[in-house]
Amino acid sequence: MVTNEIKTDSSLVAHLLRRAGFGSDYSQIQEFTKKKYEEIVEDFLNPEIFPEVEDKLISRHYISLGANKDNQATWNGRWFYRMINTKRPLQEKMALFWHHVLATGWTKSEHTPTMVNHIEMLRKNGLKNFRTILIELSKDPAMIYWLDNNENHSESINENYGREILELFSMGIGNYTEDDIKNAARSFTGWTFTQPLPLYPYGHYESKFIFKENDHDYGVKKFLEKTGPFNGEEIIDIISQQEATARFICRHLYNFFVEDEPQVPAWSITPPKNQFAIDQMVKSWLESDADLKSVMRTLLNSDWFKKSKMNRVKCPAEFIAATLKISGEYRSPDPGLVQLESTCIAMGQKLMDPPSVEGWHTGKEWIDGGTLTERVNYAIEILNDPNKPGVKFIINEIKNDKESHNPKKFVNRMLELVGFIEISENTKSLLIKLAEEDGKLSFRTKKDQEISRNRIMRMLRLIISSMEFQFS
Amino acid sequence: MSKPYALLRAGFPFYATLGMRRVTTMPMDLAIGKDQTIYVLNRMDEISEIRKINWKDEDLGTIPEGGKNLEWPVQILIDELDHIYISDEAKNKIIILDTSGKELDSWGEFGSTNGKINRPSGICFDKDNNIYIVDTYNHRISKFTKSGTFINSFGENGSQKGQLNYPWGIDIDHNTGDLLVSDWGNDRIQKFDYKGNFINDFELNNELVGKLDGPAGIAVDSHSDIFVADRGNHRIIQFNHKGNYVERFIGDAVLSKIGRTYLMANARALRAREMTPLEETKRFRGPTSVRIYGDLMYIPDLGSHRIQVYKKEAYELDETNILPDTDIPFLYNV
Repeated sequence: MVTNEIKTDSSLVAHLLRRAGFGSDYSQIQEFTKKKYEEIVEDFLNPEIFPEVEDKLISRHYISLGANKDNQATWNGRWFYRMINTKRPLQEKMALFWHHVLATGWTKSEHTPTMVNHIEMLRKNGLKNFRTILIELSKDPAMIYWLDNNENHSESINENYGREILELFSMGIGNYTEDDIKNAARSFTGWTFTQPLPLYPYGHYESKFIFKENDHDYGVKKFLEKTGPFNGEEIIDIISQQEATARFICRHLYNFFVEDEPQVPAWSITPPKNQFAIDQMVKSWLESDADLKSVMRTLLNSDWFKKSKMNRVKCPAEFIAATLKISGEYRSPDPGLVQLESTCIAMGQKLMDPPSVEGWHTGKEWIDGGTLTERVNYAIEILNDPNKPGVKFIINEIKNDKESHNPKKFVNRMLELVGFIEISENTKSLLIKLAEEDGKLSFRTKKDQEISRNRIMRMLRLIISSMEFQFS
Repeated sequence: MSKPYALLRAGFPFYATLGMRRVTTMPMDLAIGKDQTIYVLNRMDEISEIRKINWKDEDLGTIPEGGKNLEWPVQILIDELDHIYISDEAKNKIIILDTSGKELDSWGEFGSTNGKINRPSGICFDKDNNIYIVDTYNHRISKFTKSGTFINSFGENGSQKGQLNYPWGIDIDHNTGDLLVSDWGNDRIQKFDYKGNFINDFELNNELVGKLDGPAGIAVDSHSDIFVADRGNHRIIQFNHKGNYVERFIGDAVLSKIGRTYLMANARALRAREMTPLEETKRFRGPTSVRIYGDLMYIPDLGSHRIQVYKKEAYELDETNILPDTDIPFLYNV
């Protein structure tokens, strides 16, 4: 039976939607409050029960989507469209998480189809067993070329992938030897891809994984204290079972979903901010045999997650998608999605093209004088328009709720309407002081309406310019 | 050609490949001018242009200023004065240029009431030189004079006969004056008379070739054969005037002249091509349009940045050559 009973606090729902998704508008938050928190989490953990974002209409207007994978900006525009419209927010968020951790970039290959397929692979597998994720990654042409495994031959190994799969994609530095790297590399010999046609004269074609039996080293290898004629999948089996792997990936999950940690190179010398949280996730990992869904269930249902509001700097993609969710734009495929890629680049993040195999540096490193200016200007540009559907909604909600005409309640209500943003007492008291200077809102006459609308718009600008709006 | 009593369909062989990426980049549609110049409407998600090529496969450049006013162009037509008509679904406009690119006119106003349009896509002229517009998001067809005066409209959203769901392409059967509309959201073709009265609809429901998936552009030749860009299936489907399936075209491209020139100067691309099976490279990728000029069928092969051309070979028959028309199958032994 559908009821309007509130089962989960709006503020907690908003927090969950910011972290396990890309933010939300007010109406969406209200809809989710009708479910118990644990039920919402289960919905997010089981994306397959909700429909995919429909591709047919966007492919009609972003015409290349239905025809080729040549244009990266268009495919990144499609990714933003999915972030905004998906009914499977955690699936999309996990794709972004893995894109950061298992960082693979476009710059080296300049081959967009393999990067598009790489992101799709992350989307499809992001909540599966870690073993599956690593196997799919190791067979991914974008990754194979990025880390030179196409040049890893039985008679002449290239250690690059063997090294990074241990150092950055699973166990972290200090948990394996140079010999382990060499033997991992040997096990991935012959894992390569088909030659695609070049971009000219008729556009890119896709590449597929192939295993070249005659280029594989079938010899005995010693790897992490085990010995055998291991192939790549068997090496991944061993990696996935290591507690070091669980600790390393769980710390990544904590950093991405809960609280900003130091950058990865410091992890071997700096303990986690919340050892208890990492231990809980590691326990789930080991008990579930590296099942990401189980680990994410532990994370999202934990008290430390629920209490972690507004302490993580949004990455540029999160910032843009969250802003557009408030503005109500791109609920259908309108012009402008392609430009979101360059907007995101200006803020320091090019999707499908992380700066190195280490991924993006996170937390406060997202913010400098230039990127902060880009962020604030972007939010103002997007939301400083009373005709945008989301902004119009905010104005009408304030107008129709007489209690919100009182200055203090006006500020509180505005914070709710932009997604239950929690701001410091100091910031709030400044906003209330400003609201009080102008007195109660009034909508009696046309002139009153215009003045009040301008005050709402000013308050909106101030909130989205606040330091807290940079956080999730 | 004119509509004969019946046809002996001898074949529809592949004829030519024209263009390449950077010249015919993401060709959405094309039209041919009086001097046989081919005007290719390139829509590249962010920017658009009208590119001119000829049968020698020469790049004649873009129409100066011609792309400046385009945002999301869908179809291009050229009238008997060599004026170019373009529908733009982002601007909700019909834009009229001369062949030098000078804008002669543009009209269209966003909205849902009579005379307004919302995301115009397919366009075609009738015999009186009025223009039919597929008014996609209003799920209807609207008729205007060439200068933009509203005449009438028909259609509404739905999946019943005569209703439309995000329609895309339109063409007129000049033998009858009937309109053929690609009902994109319903994966079918619908036929209306010139007043907008529903005549019939037909889908593709063939064991061998399956169904239509997002029919886009549509064209009718002088035999009243109907050609549909079956975009989701990356092919062109041919129906006869009754809506019966005749044949499919999946793409048979060879290297265009300009493509050969490019490859001969690029050692790396030549090597990659030598290392790759080529079967797939012949096929269409997401075509949005099909155009008929005489006995030639032009398919802007959007995803592969080229034009593929086929040539119809058919013999016109009269009542003395063939038995009377029937839909009743029969078996016989000659």
